[in-house]
This record gives sequence, structure tokens and C-alpha cells, in this order.
Amino acid sequence: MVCILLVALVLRLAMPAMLGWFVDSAIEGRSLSLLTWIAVAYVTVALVAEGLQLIVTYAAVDLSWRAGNRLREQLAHHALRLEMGWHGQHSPGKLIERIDGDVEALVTFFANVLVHVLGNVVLMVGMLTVAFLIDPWAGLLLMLTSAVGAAVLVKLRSAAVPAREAEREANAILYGDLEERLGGLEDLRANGAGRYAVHRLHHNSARSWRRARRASLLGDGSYVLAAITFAVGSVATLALGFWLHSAGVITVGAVIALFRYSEMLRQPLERIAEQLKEFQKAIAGARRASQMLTTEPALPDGPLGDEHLAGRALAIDLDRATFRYPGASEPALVDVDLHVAPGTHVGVIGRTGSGKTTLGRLVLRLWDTTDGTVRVGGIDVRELQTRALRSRVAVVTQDVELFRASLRDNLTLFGSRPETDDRLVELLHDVGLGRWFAGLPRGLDSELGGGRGLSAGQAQLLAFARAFLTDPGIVVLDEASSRLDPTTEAALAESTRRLLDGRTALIVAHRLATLDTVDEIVVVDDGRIVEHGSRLDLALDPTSRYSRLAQLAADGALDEEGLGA
Amino acid sequence: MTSASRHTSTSRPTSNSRRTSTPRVAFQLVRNDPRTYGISLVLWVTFHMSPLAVGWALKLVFDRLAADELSTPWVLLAAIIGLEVGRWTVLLCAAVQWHGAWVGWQTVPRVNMLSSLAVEPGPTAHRLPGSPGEAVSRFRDDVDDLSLVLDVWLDVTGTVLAASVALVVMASIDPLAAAATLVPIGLALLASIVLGPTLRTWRRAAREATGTVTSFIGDTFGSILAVKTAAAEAAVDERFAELNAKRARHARRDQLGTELIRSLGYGTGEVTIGVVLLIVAASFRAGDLTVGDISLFAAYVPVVAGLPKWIGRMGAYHRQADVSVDRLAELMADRRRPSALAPTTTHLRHGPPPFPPPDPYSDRFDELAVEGLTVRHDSAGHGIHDIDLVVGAGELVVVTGPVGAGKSTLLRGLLGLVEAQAGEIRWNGAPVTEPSAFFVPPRVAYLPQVPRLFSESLADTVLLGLPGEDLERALWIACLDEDLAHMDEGTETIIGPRGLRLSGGQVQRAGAARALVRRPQLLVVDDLSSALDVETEVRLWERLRADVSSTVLMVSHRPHVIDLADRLVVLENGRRVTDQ
Repeated sequence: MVCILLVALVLRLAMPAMLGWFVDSAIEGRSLSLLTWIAVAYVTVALVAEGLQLIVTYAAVDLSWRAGNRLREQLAHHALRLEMGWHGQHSPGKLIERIDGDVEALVTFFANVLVHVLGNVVLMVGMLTVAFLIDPWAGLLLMLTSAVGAAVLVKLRSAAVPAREAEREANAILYGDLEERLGGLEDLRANGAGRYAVHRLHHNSARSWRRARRASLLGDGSYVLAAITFAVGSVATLALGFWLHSAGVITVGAVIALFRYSEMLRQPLERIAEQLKEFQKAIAGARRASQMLTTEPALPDGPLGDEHLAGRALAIDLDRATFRYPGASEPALVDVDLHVAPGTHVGVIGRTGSGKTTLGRLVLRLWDTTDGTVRVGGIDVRELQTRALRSRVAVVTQDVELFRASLRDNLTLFGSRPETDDRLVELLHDVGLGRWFAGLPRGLDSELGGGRGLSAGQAQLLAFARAFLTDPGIVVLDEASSRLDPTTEAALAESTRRLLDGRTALIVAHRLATLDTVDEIVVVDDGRIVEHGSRLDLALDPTSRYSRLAQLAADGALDEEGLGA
Repeated sequence: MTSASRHTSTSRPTSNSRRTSTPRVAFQLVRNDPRTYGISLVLWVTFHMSPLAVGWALKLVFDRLAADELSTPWVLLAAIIGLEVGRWTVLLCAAVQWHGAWVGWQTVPRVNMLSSLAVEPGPTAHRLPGSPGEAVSRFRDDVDDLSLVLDVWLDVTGTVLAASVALVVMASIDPLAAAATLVPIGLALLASIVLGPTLRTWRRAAREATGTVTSFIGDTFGSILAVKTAAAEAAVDERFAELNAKRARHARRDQLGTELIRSLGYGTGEVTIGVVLLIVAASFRAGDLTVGDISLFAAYVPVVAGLPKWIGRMGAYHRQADVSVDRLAELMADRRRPSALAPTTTHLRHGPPPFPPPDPYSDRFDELAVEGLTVRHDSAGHGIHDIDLVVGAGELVVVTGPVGAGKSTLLRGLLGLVEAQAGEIRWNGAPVTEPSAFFVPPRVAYLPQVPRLFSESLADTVLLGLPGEDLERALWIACLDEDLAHMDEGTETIIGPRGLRLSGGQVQRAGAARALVRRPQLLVVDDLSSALDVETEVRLWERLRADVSSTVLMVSHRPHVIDLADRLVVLENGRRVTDQ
């Protein structure tokens, strides 16, 4: 490819010389056939040069897509493994801009850097050489022009980078905000807040406007200054040519060729400058990409693999575990000591925000404790490979996240838990989604997500089906049946029993009826475990919080029995 | 009794039957702010014409050179430098002004689309293509494509004017040579006509592949918790690589097409100079043409040869924009299709005026009556059928039934969030023709099953533009007062994307506060208690009942809620099975 590029460049280089030759031949009164021959050659050379250019461009585009996609995949790969705290600060819309928008700028730049920038640098060197051959003074002059022009470019370009970055940041905010609002359209509409969303768009657009103009002033200003430098160089070349010609050193054709070279010197510059905007974008993008890639995961992987988590059921141990969410003033959990023997089912109750959910998240190592340790199967979770840990801990939460992908992909999570179709269908029946599934025209290939044809309760059943696809040593059910009506919940009970059988379970619930079969009860309040004991013992002790809550439920106001009760 | 008529107009026309033409849409954009566009036009035309002046000055210089004059023409050379400085200064002004104008062109369709989606009447369900991530790509890439049309018009106008002048000047020197320069234009245009349809399909495929990739990123990181808890990172990596590879295939092809058109433009310049040389060889040799004339041709031919490049580019951009205009129109409510770009004040220079407080509202709620409401979800027959329902002032009406019975669909159909195929809704006895526009605060506020919070301060995500005087009351009723005590910056605490840092119950209560702060006459709630513990729920109910306006229509399974209900609506398989 480099060879083709070089040939194309040499052809380009020849053209001004051919024009000069044509003029000189005419002035010297050479034969018309020679003039015609030069003109024909000129046309041919121009055509071939363009064809070669096309080939080089395609090759460069191909290369840049490969490189760009590799970078996209690296960024996504890295971001996927960063902790929840990081994701709390980076909205999906922003990440689209980082992983795709920024890399897009890099890709565009890549595609052009090889063809336009690199090629044109070689072209410039070639032109300077030819100019030297025509006349050393002329060569020197062109060299000076190029040097000054390049200096202007380099010096001013770096001044424009922060402005360019600010512009992109403004756009990232604009798109991030749009993405969230579009995701919450129904919330906005039904609460009459659509106009406010439009107001925000106006606000964000105005910021983009200011920053785009400022970035242009700095970025295009550098381009313009350089262009003026080259124009002055061209005129100086012309003056020099005049002087050399009147001194009888060079011909009229040579002056024309020199002038064309001096103008062509600007052409690569224009091409480079055309890419300058991309270049600045690319630099800003590359800077943010490298920033992201160098963000160390706050929860580095441990060395131990899943062979250390053998056994059907695993123990859970929290030793003086304290945890505070970043930005929160109060810890979510304080000094929690909790020991759950393998195979034990523990019900966790407490008010919302008391720390129940956090408990499960620590076991999954979505966060690391601020103080104290969490052990699973007797091993500190920080010593374990995250993948190994999470493949042995299944979670069903109250908010089920569905992907805009096929039902199969949603169940197996893009094939990370491969399973035969028959087994998947069987599972759907097991969790009570059989009737719903039968109504799907495309079966497992049906596209889900975006609330398409799936109620929140059905989504929760789907999450149960997901959990069955692993062989967990620990099952965390976090309000897992909260969106189910009692009838459906009862229907699911048998499947749940099978899932939990012989496994350790942490069942977070606010409906006490859900906890009728657990072995132990933990009551959490304000981040502390205020009660922990066998369910039967606590139920028999009238002073226990658990029995008081159970009493409250039994008093009728909070009757937790079925719909028909 | 069931009036299906109000929905007949909303059947979706196919994209072919009513395609809004790109030039018309683009011209609407120009008319939105003619002054800005006019300034852009003057600046760019001046810039495109400027090489002609420089070329003429150069002709004079070369004529003196060939005439073997010994004195260097300093005045001429100084004039050229002056022209060049002026030319590039114009470019800088044009560029800065253009960057502002560009944002303006993008803002108009964006504001219109967002207004249509979030403010204008009509259901939005199914109008958003795929994920919000993909919708963003429409707000970004498709809007870019449309703006490029306005942009290319500037250049085409400039080039056409410059080329016309250049042709006239060249024709006055050598008519045949001048005519020859027109050949490449014809060829380039021909090529763009022949290649056009193919390029258009390539473009569409590339865009779609891009949309798939962006929505995949958005979805994955929107559901990062699910990915992480399932340790599905590696599988996501793999799927992402697959989608990327597909996109690269389509994009390469698309870019090759674009490059071909571009090459036709650039390449013809040099070729045409060669052709001109061929034609003028004899007369130049005979001395009828001067060296200055040759230099003039060399300077003017690129100006004319630029024409096919720009016209080709205009054709390509128009084709790209055809695709985009269609895709943009899909986001709009159908009735607004013809005016997809209604006149819009962009507020770019000074920012938007302060957000106005809501209008006061005096109408008192008396009764809501629904008859025969029918919503068909999909071909599989999911949905609700022929539902009757009455809500009186001060009542608690509970909708209940098993999972998938259509409870949420009933609420959403009533509110106009999904399209109802039949049914009549009356508010205080008067028929409601446009529920999506009617059932908004201060009449009705809605708390969905899973509220969407935005990445901003708790106060902002609850208020959504309302003045803050009611905030504390709403947060208190929603039982967020204690949670607030634990937040560093109180109501100014920034909550993560989609409220990630709040627990499920907190998210739901923040959603409740969002509805309550609007002081609705009727509160519509989709399963408030699903993420709440017993104590909090009881407290919330007490506080809500103690508050003045508490007509509530809600979905619930909770027996104690059902006991409190003044009326009960039991659904099964989308039909109402019992009364009270």
C-alpha cells in the first residue's frame, strides 16, 4: 500500500514540472506534436494518480475501522469491569459518546491521517527537493515557508485543544441528558414535565453554541494564520522567480512550476488542516479514552478462581463490615457481623433504606466494604476472581433490567450461560411464564426490552428463570417477588423452593409471608443488625422485633395472605 | 357507546406514501432564521469568489514575466498579499459564524422532536425506535445529516457563482477551452445519478448498523447491574465485537461510495487542466494566448472543476438526508409530519428565558368515567378489552388482578400513554378527546411502577422545573424525609444515572414525591408499595390520606389496600371480572 501511495505522490509531483515544460516548449517554438503529447501525458497522469488515491483511501478506511473497533471493544471491556461507583457518575448516554463518539473522531482521523497527512508530508518533502533542483534559493525559500507555516500550526493547534474538548464535553452533556429524558418519556409526559425537558435542551444547546464558536475561533484561527503564511510564501517565491528569470538563471516555465509547487505546498496544508479539526477532536477523544482506560478498577480482581468455591452451598461471613456509599454522609452499614452457615436460608427485614439491599451487594462484591471483611465460602471476596464469585452467587432483584435483545439472549445473558432451547422453554413454564411464552409468535427469538409486551411482574419471573440457569452456591432474593400478585407468587413458590434447596439464601423482603420457610431472621435498622436469630425462636419471643412485625401483619391492616383471604 | 373514531386518523402511513422532501424540510430550516443564514451565505460566497481575484492578479504578473520586464511588479505582488489576507480573514469570520449557525440548524429539529415526543398530544409508545440510545443517534446523526444539506447549499451557491464568473472570463479568452471545462461536470453528475440509489441503500444499512451499536452500548450500561450480577461481561464483550464487525462492513462500503464521489470531484480538476492544455496548444504556440492566460486557466479551472464535487456532494447529502428526514419524521406524532420543523426560537446566544411557573388551575374534580376502554397490545391479543370504570372525588379505586392481566395497560391506556382502540373517557361529565394532553398536572399525576429518575439533584428530578415551594411537603408525604437526613447535600444531592445510587424503595418514593409535588386532583399510581416495606408503606398511606387532595386510582395486590378501596376493579386476561 505504501508503494501505491508513493507512486501516486510521484505522479502528482511530476504535474507542475510538466506544466512548466509545456509553457517553455511553446515559448521555444517546439513542435505542436510535442505540446500535444505533453498535454495527453498530463491528463493520463492525473487520472492514474486519482485512481491510486482511491485504492489507498479504501485501504486506510479498512485499517481504521479495524483499529477503531478494537479500541471500542477495549473501552467497553474496561468500562464493563469498572465498579458501580464509577457507573454512578457516568450515564449510559455519556458512555455512548465516550465509546462511540470519541472513537468515531479517532477513526475519522485514522482514515485520513495515513492518506492525507502522512502522504502530504512525503509530498512536501518531494516538492522541496524538486524546488532545490530548479534553484537552491527557491528551495530554501519554500522550506522557510513550510517551516514557519508548520510552526504556526503546531503552536496554535495546542491552544485550540482545550476549547475543542470543552465543546465535546458540552455535546456529551447534551446527548446524555437527551438519552435519559427519552428513556423517561412517560414519566415526563404524565407529570406534565415535557416542556421542562425542552427547556433543558434549549439550555444545553446554548452552551454548545457558545463553545462551538469559541473552539472554531481558536481552531480555525490557527488554520487561517498558517494559510496566510503560505500565501505570503507563494508571493515571495513569485518575486524570487521574477528576479531569477530577469537574471537569466531560470526559464518562464520553471517560474510557473516553482509557483505551482509553492501553491501545492498549501494544498497538503489545506488537506492537513481539513483533518486538523478531526485531529483536535481525535486528540481530545484519545485523551478521554486513555483517561478511561487508565482508570483502575476500584475493585481489582483477586487471584482465586472458582475451584475455591466448590460445594452446593456456600457460607456467608461478614466481619465488622462497614460500608458507606461514595458521597453519602452516613454509612449504609455499620459494624455488621453476620455469619450464615452453608445451606441456611436467612430472611432479611427492615425499613427501606435500612441497608438490606446493600448487604446483598457486598456479598456480590458490587462494592467493597469501607471497613471489615466479607467472606464467601470462607474466602475473602477480595481474594476471588469477580467472575468466579458472581457465577456462584445468583441474584433476583426488584428492578429487573431487560435488554433490547431476543428472549434467549435475555435469559442466557448473551450466551454467558449457554443452555439448550428446550431447557429454556421448560424453565419459562416452571416459573409461570408458559402462557405468555405460548403467545409469542417468534418464540425464543422474540425481541424484548423497552417494556414491549412484558409487565413488571412478568419481568420478575424472567429474572427467576435467569437465576435457575446458574448453579449458585448462594441465592440473593432482593424483594424478588415484590411485583408479583399473591397468586402468581404462590405458583412460583414450588420453583423457588427447588432453586433454594440445599443452597444458602439471603432473602430480603418486606412481606413477611414470603419468609415463612426461612431458617433465620435478620432485622436491619439504620445500617445495623439489631436482631438475628432462628425464626422460630424469634417468633416465640413476644419482645422480638420480628414477632411484633408479624403481629402487626396479623392484625389485619397488613394482612399478607392471598388475594381471596 | 364506544367511539373508535378519534383514533382512526392515527393509523400510520408507510414511509413511502408521505415522504417529506428533503429540500422542503431544509428550506423550512433556512426560513426559521433567515438572517443567520443570509450572513453565512454572504461570507461563504465571498470566500468562494476570492480565488478569482487572486487568479486575475497572477495573470497580470505572469504576463509581465513573459514580456521579459526587468522590474519586479511590487505593487501587484503587494495587492496579491492583501487579497490573500482578506480572503482568509473572511474564512475565519465565516467559520466562526457557521459553527453557531450549525448548532442552530440542529437545535430546531431537536426542539421540535422533543416537544412532539414529550409535550404534544398523542401516545409516545412505539414512536421511539428501539432504545433511547438509538433515539439519541437520531437526535445526533440524522440531525447532522439534515444540517449538512443547509451547509452544502452555502458551498454550492458560492461555487456556482464563482464558476459562472470563471467560465465567462475564460470564454472571453478561449471559448472552446472554456466549454471543455464543462465536460467533467456532466460526467460527475452522470456518475452520481447512476450510483445514487446504491449509495443510498449502503448509507441506510450503515446507519442502521451504527444505531444497533449505540443502542447496545446504551442498553448494556443502562443495565450494568444486571450484567455485573450475572458476570456476563465476557458475553457482552463478544456480542459487542459481533455488532462492531457488522457495522465496520457496512461502513467501509458506505465510505467507499462517498470517496468515489469525492474523487470524481478532486480528480477532474487536474484532468481538465490537461484537456485545456490540449485544446489551447496550437493557439498558445502561435502566440494568440499569453503565459498569463495559461496561468489564468490553471487558476480558474479548479474553480469550475470544484462544481461537480460540490454538486455531487449536494446530491449525496440530499440522499443521506432523505433517509434521515424519514427517520426523523418517524419520531414525530403523525399529525405533525408536514410541519416537522415548525418555526422555533433557538435562544442560542443568550440561553432560554427562565422556566415559567405552571398556570393556576381552578376546575374542581368531580368524577372520572371510563366506558369500553380497549387497548390491543400486539398481534398475540395481549391488552385490555372493554373496561368500564368510575372514580369519584375523594375515592380510592384499586385495580387488581394477576400478573399480566393488563392492570398497567389499563392505567396507561387511560392516560393516553398507549393508544386505545376504543373507549370513551369523561372528566366531570365532559368527554376527553385527547387523554395524553388532558391527563396532566394539575389534573392528574402519575407514578409508574418503575419511575425513571434523572442524573441530577434530587430536588431537580422531583420538581422537573416546578418552583420549589412544595418540595418539602411532597418529600415528607413520600417518606423521604429520613433518607434526606442521610444525604450529604440534602435535596441538592446528585443522584446517579437513573437514580442508581438510591435503593428501589427510595426510587419509588422519589417518583411518588414527583407526582405529589404537582398537587394533582387525581393521583394515578401503578403499584406503589411493590418496593416498600410494611412500616414505610403504612406511614406513606397515613400521610397521603391526611393530605387534602387524595383521590387515588391505583394498581395494588395488597389486601389491606384492597380493603380500603371505595371501588375495586379486578382484571383477568385483560377483562374486568367482578365488580365491587
